[in-house]
Amino acid sequence: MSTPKHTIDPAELTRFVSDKLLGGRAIAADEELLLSGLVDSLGVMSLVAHIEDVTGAPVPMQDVILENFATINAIADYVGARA
Amino acid sequence: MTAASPIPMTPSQKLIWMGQSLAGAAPLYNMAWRFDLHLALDTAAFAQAFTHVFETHDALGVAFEGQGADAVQRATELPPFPPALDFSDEADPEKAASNWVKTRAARPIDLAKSTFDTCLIKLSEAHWVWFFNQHHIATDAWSGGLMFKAVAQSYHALTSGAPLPNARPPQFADYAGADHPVAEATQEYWRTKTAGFESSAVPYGEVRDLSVPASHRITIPFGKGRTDALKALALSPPFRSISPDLSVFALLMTAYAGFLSRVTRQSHLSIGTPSHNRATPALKDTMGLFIEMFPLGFEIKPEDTFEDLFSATMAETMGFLRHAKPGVSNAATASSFNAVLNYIPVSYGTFAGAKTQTQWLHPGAHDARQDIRLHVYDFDATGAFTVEMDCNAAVFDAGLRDRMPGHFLKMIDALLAGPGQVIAHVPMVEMSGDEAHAALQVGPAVAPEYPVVLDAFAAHVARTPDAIACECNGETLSYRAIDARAARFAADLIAKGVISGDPVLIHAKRSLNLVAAILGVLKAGGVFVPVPSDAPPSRVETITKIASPKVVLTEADLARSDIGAATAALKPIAPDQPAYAIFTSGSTGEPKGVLVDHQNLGEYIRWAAQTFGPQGPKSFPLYSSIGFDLTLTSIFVPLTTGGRVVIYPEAAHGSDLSILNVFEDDRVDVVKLTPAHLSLLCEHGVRTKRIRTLVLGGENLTTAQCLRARSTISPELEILNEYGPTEAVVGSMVHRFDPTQDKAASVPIGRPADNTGIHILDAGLNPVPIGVTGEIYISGRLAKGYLNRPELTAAKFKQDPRAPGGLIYRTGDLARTTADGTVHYQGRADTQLKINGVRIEPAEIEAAFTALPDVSWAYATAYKRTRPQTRTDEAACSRCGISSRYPDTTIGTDGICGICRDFDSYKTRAEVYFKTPQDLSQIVSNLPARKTGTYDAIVLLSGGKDSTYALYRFADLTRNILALTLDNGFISEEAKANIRRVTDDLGIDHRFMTTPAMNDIFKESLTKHSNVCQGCFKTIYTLALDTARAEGIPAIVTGLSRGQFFETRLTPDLFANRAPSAQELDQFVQDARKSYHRMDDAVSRHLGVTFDDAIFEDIEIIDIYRYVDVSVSEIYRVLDARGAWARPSDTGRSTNCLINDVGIHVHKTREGFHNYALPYSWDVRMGHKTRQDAVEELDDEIDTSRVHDILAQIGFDQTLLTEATQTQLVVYVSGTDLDPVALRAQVASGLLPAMIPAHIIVLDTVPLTQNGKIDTDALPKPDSHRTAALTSHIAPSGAVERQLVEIYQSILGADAIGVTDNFYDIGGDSIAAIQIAIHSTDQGLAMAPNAVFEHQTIRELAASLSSVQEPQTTKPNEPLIDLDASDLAAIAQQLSGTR
Repeated sequence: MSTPKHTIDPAELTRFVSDKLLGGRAIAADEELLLSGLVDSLGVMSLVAHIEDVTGAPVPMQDVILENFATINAIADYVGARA
Repeated sequence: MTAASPIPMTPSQKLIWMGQSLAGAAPLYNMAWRFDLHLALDTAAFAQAFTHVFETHDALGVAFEGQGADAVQRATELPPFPPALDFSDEADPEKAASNWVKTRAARPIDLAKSTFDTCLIKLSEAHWVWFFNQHHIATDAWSGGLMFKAVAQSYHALTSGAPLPNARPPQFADYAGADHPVAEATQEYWRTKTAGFESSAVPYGEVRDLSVPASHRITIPFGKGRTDALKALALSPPFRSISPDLSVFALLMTAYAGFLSRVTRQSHLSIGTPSHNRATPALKDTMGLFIEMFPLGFEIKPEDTFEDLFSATMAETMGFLRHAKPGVSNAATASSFNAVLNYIPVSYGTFAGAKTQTQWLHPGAHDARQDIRLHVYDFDATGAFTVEMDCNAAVFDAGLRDRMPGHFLKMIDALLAGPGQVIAHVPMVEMSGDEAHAALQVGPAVAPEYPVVLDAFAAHVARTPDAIACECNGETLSYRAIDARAARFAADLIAKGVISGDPVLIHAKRSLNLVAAILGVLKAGGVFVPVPSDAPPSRVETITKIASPKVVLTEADLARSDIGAATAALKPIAPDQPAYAIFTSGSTGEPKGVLVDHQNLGEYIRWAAQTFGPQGPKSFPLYSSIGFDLTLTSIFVPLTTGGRVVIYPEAAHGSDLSILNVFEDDRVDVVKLTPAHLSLLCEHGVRTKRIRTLVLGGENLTTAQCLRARSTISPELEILNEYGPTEAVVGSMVHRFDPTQDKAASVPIGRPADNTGIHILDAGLNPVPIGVTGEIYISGRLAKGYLNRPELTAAKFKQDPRAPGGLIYRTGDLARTTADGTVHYQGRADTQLKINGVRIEPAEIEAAFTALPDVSWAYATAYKRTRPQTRTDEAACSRCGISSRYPDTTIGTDGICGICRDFDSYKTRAEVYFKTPQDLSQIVSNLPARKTGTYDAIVLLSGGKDSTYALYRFADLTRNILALTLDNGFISEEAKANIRRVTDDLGIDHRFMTTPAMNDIFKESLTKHSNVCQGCFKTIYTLALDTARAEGIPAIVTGLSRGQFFETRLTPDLFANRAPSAQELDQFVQDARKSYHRMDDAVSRHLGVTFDDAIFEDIEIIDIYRYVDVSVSEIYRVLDARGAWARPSDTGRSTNCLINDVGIHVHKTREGFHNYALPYSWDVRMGHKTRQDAVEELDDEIDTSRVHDILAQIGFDQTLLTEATQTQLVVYVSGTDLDPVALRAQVASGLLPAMIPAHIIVLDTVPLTQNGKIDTDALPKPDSHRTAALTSHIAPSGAVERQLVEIYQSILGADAIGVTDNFYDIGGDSIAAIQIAIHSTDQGLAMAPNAVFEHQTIRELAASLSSVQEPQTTKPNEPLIDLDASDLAAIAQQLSGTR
């Protein structure tokens, strides 16, 4: 097991969202993803799985809330804030 | 078209393919659309646009070929686009079109040709309908939207001169052909979800019919207001989530689960919902079937609010989304629910800019396992949800389909208005509507002529003073005489200081003076407290303590000749003054006195007189316990109407069966009795001329009982079913039995009595919807409360929320109403049984039995098997070595266990089952003609000595054999080597079979059976049957040992009181085999293999050891001689399986005994193992750390590794010529597996309490070893038989000895015979010891004793029977131990 990471690169995350979830559409780091309907619930679950892959640490379901996943920046903050 | 190479079918497609194959032509999976296009349509351009879309999307252009699992989909030619229909000339074009599309939507689609059906319909130049119906196997709601948009876009291009879109859209084959690896954690998540699934109770108490896939779609008037409110709520805390659609979904799910929990009365629910499963933009643009169905689980606790349930729903939904991966759904996930929610947040857009409406048409069918499917969508983006429910036609009739939307909307509105509300308390019916009237019924308000019964009685004293009021054993009292005698009792009581409201306890037998004394107490203004003459002293003491009576009238007081010389001035009785207190049993065991005033007593008696004897004065018998309120009816109804009380006193001793005398005498008109009494009467075959009216009360009354009573007692019998607790003054409702109308298993309890309200309420005290079970509350005519128990009174008599100041009494009884307003009793609120975790309503089981023609009475209850205790005096059977720790084992005084004793009694009768090696040769010689493949037979080869020897024997007859071994992952290497050597030695084909589901099978087997073997057995049988079916092999050969035959098949119940033929035994084994393979378990679910019963007609199961009897030494001799087989040394015992220890350890821990205890005892009984070997092998050391490693490896929940308390369902029945084996087979088809009783006990006589209710304490306990769960038990009648039964039971250490049981069959021997004789003589039943041998049943023995005029005495030193020295020594020892 590798040690869990507590950071995620916003640029990498942006690429993932753009390529895998939005079919190549450009996305800004502070652009609203959820309430806009850009990313749906299953998309969020793909994001969760991606974050787990990259950081090596599980994302508890109770953390999957609007505040933590609203924008790329919010996600990066959330990952950084996990101790 | 390009060459048609097969497109792989996705798991979802395979499920639908299977579902459609099973449903025949039923249009379960038609997804039909009606698009109303408001434009002048260019039909040629439309056809061209459609063709273009068809040719560019592979999901549209496929057809399916092949059968079952081998079917494939292939691209196919486009059929020509059909010419448009023109309905514009019709009188009502819209109506014509809607009829056409409705019919057409239900037309089956022939998947061999294409997946869809389409057409254009012209309603007017500017209004066209496009009908498009596609089989779900190739589409889903999202795909429908893509298809619509693609056709619209191409049409627009064609009609506006723009080029057709020519980019290649993503194709379904790209998805279907891609690999979708599923993580183990995800599979495990769904396995856990589906493992505990049990079919839900059906909504509204209806019945599911799995053969009827028909359904009706209804539209719920949801509206824009609710849509807006729901969307707003979804955005507000605490409902806000990562997406508004997710919150809307979870809110809908919350209301839906709440609604379903209310109408099914289930606290645990599973609801299916689709995952759209289009995770990437490319998939979102791909047409085809992507959705997969998954179950969401809910637990709704009584105190849960919508907010509580929402938060659980959200957590469950997140888990669902997390694990809803492509390709993960399977037959288990797709069938683990009986209700569906489809929330489809998709909009279809407009057609070429024209106004468009989209309708999803219902094909009139859906999966019959699903009771209800809720759809919520807004395809046209109107801002208002379309909310529809598909209602299973077997469950929802037209009336229910009308009522249900209201109930659902009540839940939605409650959620929107106050999410903090407790779900269980939400009112579900309109207070102004018919449903409220059904659940809140009020009897007519009637003012009685005489509010006080004494006044009504006095009127008859005045009118007909010389008419006979009472008679008893030929002695009579006129109205004048009994009135005078009552007055003297009253004067006597007043002289003793009794004033108004003082309790007077009457503890006496039924007599003329008893009736006079009761009237006397009332005249004195006192409160009579009747206590039956046979009440035990402790109970009399308790009642006296609670009631603190001013005076106690005993038998002696009533018999005094000097009463009433004096007279006294009597005060008038006020209607609200208490009249009597009847003590009933409390749930805590402490009796409670129900106190009733004169007004309410008078009102009940007036109503009862009018209802039970409208044609004038009647005679009633006074035959029942005076402590039971049915007696009040029999005393006061005749005395207040000028009728007569015919008194039947208690017998001098013994049980009170006066009811039989009443019917034999046939001197009364109306008899009030219990259903148990009625069964007793029918068993005795009484016939009556005068008794025409029976009033039944006290217990559930079945239609079968009524029909039997009418055929036995009198065809003109009028039967009234009266319902009412003592707290509501005897009777609150009545139903007149009508054989032409009453067809349900139980007779309804009818309509409320005068001045009485019946309320069927939910937990929030709201009326329940029609069909839904609620608790009965009663208002109006009620008791004053409990004597000297104000706190209990306040707890049971509550404020009526709908009538300020009024009280309602909570009965604890359950009922539901039907659409005609009739109330049906549904059992007690607190009798729900839980059998191994499954909730069971005993009433339901009882109904299944009483619905059978010969069963007149049934009683279901739970039986907790005695836990084997760690005892220092643990004994082992001197013959087979089985330990007394084995459940329900009794080791007799001779040291022999019950199983051995039983076996002695039937083993000769069992011999017919066994056949000869010649019979086997005969069967094998017929196999080649029956095979359609290579092999004559499959031989199951576990690798142990028995199956290896079996293989050798079978190979002597044919070598066209396929040997199969289940590789469960734990087979020892040496065992595998054995198997390879043996099959090589014989030169036969062999396969190791396995399944990835093995861990689940182990887990379920450990959870359900506390062993692993059950799971392996079922798996190898299933795999073998599947292989035999696929390869045309006509037989499967097993190495089941003779011990296993007796352990599992030739059980004692088959031989109880009869000698079945080989043919009957065959039939029984075959039926057992069929039901074994019908059982739904991990094996059937995970292997995805199902069999019709018919497979056992094609494939014969041959148990070698049925034909071949061979000793163990002979087996070893043959195996040693062949030299290919060696005893494995790596498993530690005579097994070849390394997981075996896990089963043993789990079994010992949870059940308290070794799971090989019984099998080994059979090996010993068969002479295949010595007693010593068996005992030693059972005393094995288990490496527990290894066991825990394996349990962790297979993922067994080790918290289950605690003692299991085994609760079994027992059903007692009585009726005509009942055979438990046949009964079980008859009910099995209609009951869930968990509801099939472990024990069926036939009673000749139902034991009754003094109040005429079933005496549950006196019911025989099931004794599983003696009868393998099926017992015929004849209870004693008469004091002598009862006494003998007690003596036999104490000496033989057995429960439930019947009076016709043979002394030897129940474990009798010479020592026991002497002890019985000694004890009997001590207790006044003198007998010679040989009497027990001469009269081998208790009944015969009792008869012989009563025919002996003088007590027999025996000379002390005379030898009675031949005993040898060791017998005598044993007797001496026994006697010193017991005396």
